[in-house]
This record gives sequence, C-alpha cells and structure tokens, in this order.
Amino acid sequence: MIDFLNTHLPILPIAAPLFGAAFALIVNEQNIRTQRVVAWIAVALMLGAGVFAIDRTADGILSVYLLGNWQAPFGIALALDKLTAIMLLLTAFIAAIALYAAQQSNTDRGVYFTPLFMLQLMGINGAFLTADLFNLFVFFEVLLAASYGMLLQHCDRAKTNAATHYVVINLVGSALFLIAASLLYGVTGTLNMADLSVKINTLPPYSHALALSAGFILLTVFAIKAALLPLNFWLTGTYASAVLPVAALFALMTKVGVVAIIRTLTLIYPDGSFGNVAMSKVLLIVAPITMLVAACGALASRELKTLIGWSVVGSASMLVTAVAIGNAKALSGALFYLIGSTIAASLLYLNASAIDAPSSRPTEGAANSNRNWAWVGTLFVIGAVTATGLPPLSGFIGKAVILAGAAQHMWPMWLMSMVLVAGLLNVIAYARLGSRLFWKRDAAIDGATHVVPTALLALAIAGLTIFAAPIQRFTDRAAIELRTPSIMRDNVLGKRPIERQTSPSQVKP
Amino acid sequence: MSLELLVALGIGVLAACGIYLILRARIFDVVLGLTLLSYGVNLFIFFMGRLAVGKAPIIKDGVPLNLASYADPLPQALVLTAIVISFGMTAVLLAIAVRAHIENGHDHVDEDAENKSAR
Repeated sequence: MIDFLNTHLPILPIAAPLFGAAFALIVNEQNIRTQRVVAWIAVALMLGAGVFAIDRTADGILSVYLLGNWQAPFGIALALDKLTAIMLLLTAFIAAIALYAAQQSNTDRGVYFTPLFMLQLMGINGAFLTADLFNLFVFFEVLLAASYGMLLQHCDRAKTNAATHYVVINLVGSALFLIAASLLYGVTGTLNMADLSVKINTLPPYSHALALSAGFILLTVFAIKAALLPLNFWLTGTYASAVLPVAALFALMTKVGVVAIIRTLTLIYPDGSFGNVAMSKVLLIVAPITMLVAACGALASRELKTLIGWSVVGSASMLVTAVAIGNAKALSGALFYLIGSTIAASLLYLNASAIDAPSSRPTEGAANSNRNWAWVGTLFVIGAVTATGLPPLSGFIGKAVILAGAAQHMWPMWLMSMVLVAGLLNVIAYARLGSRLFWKRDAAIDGATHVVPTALLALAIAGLTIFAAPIQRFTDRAAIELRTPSIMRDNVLGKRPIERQTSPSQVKP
Repeated sequence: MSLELLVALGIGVLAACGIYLILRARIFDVVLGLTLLSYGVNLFIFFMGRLAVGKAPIIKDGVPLNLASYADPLPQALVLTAIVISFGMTAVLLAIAVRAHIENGHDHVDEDAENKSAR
C-alpha cells in the first residue's frame, strides 16, 4: 500500500480534484450536500498528499512520475521536489479554507461552483508538478478556464467588464506562451524542462539569439501571471470583483507565475547558462519598480479590496525580486515569504467580506457589534502586519532573509532601498485605511461572517512564526536543491519506465 | 527558401492583423484579433518542426528510418492541442462579450472611459 502510494504520489494532487470535479458535475447543484462531501474528500486527499510530499521530499527524495510510462524527454514527466511539495501543501490548505468559507456563505450554490473550484485546484497543482513546458501551458489553461467561470459567479455589470479584461489579457498571454514554447522546441528539440536545462548549454552560437528571445517571451507570460509592472493592471479590478472566498483562492494564482519564474531561472536557464544573467538583470529592474508602484497604488486605494489587490501585486514583485537575486539565501527567504504572504492575502480577502458587507442592515446591539469589530479588527491587523512584513510575524522573517540575500548581490543599495521604501509606504497605506475603517468606523460590519476560517488562517500565520526555524531549514534545503539543477536533471532524465510484465493471457495466441 | 519566406510572411501578416484588431478595443474586433493571432501562432508551432514537403510523420514501410525522411510529428500534436484550447477560449470570450454587450449597451472594452464622460 505504502509502496503504491510512493509510486503514484505525484499524480494524486491532480487526479483527486479531477475526479472530484467529475463527481460534482454528475450530482449537480440540486444535491448540494453530496457535492460538498465530494469536494471535501478531494481536498482532504490533497492535504494528505501535501503532507506526505513534504515528508518524502524532506528525506531528500525527488519523485518523478512518467505519465503513460514513456521515458522522460519523450513523454510528459511530473517532478515532485521540495518547492513543489511546499506549494502543494499551501494550495491544499488555502483550498480547504476557501471551500469552508464558500460553504459557510453559500457561495457554493452558484452555477457549477464546486466543479470549477475543483478544476482550478487541478490546474494549480498540475502547474506546480509538471516538468514539461507544453504541459505547463495546458495546466495554465485549465486553471485559467476554471477561473473565468469562478469570476463570473453572481455576475453583474462591473464583474462582466473585469472578466472581459482578464480573459483577453490571458488569451494574449497564452498566445505568447505558445510562441515561446514552440520557439524553444524549434531551437533545442525538446520541451522537457530538465532536458532543456541540459540542451541550453550546448546550443550552437547561431541559435543563442532565438533561445534568448524565447526566454524573454516566456518571462513576459509569467510576468502577466505574477502581475509585474506593465502587465499588472488587470489584477486589482479582477480580484476585487471576484466573490471573496474565490478571491482568497485567487491569491494563489500570482504564485503560480512566481513558481514558473523560479523554474525558468533555476532550471530552464540555470545559473551560468547564457540567458540567465540578462533575464535576472531585467527582472531586478522591473520587479523593484513594480513593488514601488504597488505601494503607491496601495496608498491611493480608498477601498479595502483594492488595497489588498495592490498588496498581492507588491508581494508577488517582492518574490520575483528575491528569485532574480538568485542566491540561496534570497531563494530560501522567498519561499518562506511566499507561504506567509499567500496566507495573509487570503486572510485579508476573507476578512474583507465581513467589513465590506452592505451597511443597510441595522446593527443588532452595541455589545455584540463591538465584539465583532474587535474580532474583525484583530484579524485585519494580523493580516496587515504579515503582508507588510512588520515584526514580529512571519512576513518580517521572510523579508529579513531576502534582505540578507540582497546584501550579497552586486546591487545592494538599489534592492534594499526599494524593498524598504515600498514596505514603509505599505505600512502607511494599511495604517491609514485601517484607522479609517476601525476607529472612525467608516463601514458597516455584517455579523463577522467568516471569523472561523479567517481565524484558522491567522493561526497558520502564528504557527509559521513560531515554527520559523524548522520551516526555514526546509526552505534552505529547497533553495539549495533549486540552485543545483543537476538534481532535477539526473532524477527526471534518469527515471526508467516501469517494466511491463507480460501476463499469461497476453502471451496466448 | 521561397517556401520559408512565404510561410514567415503569412504568419507575420496574421499576427500583425491580430494585434491591430486587439488594440482596437471594440469587443468584436478583439475577438477577431485574438482568433487571427491564434491562427498565426498555430502556424508558427506547426512550422517549428521545420518545413517538410511530401514526408509523413508516421513510420512507413520502404522509407529509410532516419530523421531526414520524416516530418516531425510532435509539433503536429502540439498544434492540435493549441487549436482545441484556443477554440474553447474563444467560445468563452464570445459568451462574456455578449453578456457585456447586454449589460453595457455598447461594445467598447473599457466601459469606464465612456461612462465617466456621460456621468
């Protein structure tokens, strides 16, 4: 049993939500209770797979799964390394919280909500797991197609317009992705990332220009997903118009872009290959400027949802900066910051559902209302402190490690000053909006709808802060693994297909 | 040589028309533009397996077993996936476009720009 699980672990986070979606489609919304059970089974399987994946990769095992039993550069391979394990567990956790919140507020009675939710999880998990560039494109499309449907839940005029922008920019992004992937295939003759990582260093000089342009187009696509500067204006409007439990899940989607950028800079164009330096430099200019622009956007926002949207942009650009710095310290800090900032963004979005509720409802009694304000306010502070990276919570630890990594880079002044200035502006923005909301009570509160899931997220942030040392040790090892692409190459390309045992019935004529 | 030039020009024209139409910011033009762009991209994927005239992508009896005698089958498989996905996405976009047209009463992509001047 354990042996079977070890062999088939990498496919489980893709298969579980896929079958969940299929069953949820069969039972349809009329039968909401069965749908909920199906969704919970799928999410529980994902959580189990996430914990198991962390446990397995902590032993230094990099699992590779050959789809259809084809050997690596010819078929599609899934690879489960430490980065993927972290992302799988984080996805499963956020999904569980978002599902809980959606069921609590009856959002999941929307049209095809549960199947779309499951398919989106399948796309996100697949994008983290796959080691094949074209398969990454397919999983991107799966998660995007599901997100279009999720975005149009309870749709009104503003949502339809936000969705139009979102769909169009992502379709352009898909076209660019296809160009980049096929260009890389035309130059190197392979689409497997581990194989690309080998072939990119042995290219003849006349194809360097093509491979480099393919790399930059690829970065552009991932920059759309990670919302880097000229390509980030879709995010705030889109996320603000999503139903809030959905927005909590969407906080993961920028991280898919960030992880894809990590793969590009550490695996496809590894440290020391010809494209790496140029790409890192461009990112090190664009990402810090994005950070500053996001902080200015946060300062200018008058609504909580817009503010959170800008801080999602800010944290994604912070991560990209750290990835582009590229040394082990910055990468490890980035992974740690990624966990905290994703949880914080989900927390803030869920919490916002209590604050932004319609003010027409009369408040029920001063005492009860005060207690709700205290709850919602405390949770807001926890989310804001983590998102802006103030001590003592986990955002600060991640940011400090990233700064330590930036100090070792050749541009320490530029990077550190941008990170610190953007951080300060974010603190001012959160403090200003927070004091307007909670001290002047410039909003109504709706019975603190999502206190339990939000408090669970806050507990996770507390856990992340208290157990920072062991988690940091794991991300340190993950960063070293990422900095050594030969581990991925040897495991993926060295994986042999399972020998087929010819059963007697097949031998018979 | 002339075949390569013709194909490259064709892809270029499709992509240029597509980008021009996308930038027109009318929803129907945008849909058409995205369709043209995806045609260009599909051709691009197809020809990244190199142009081959009169060669099959499947091993045949009597044809020597070397790469020069066959067309690359992988881009043909990739382009099939890309066509299906872009077809599905265009359908989704059309549904949203119709919805946006009903909601807004006009077909401009940025409804804010026109609404703010009206208010």
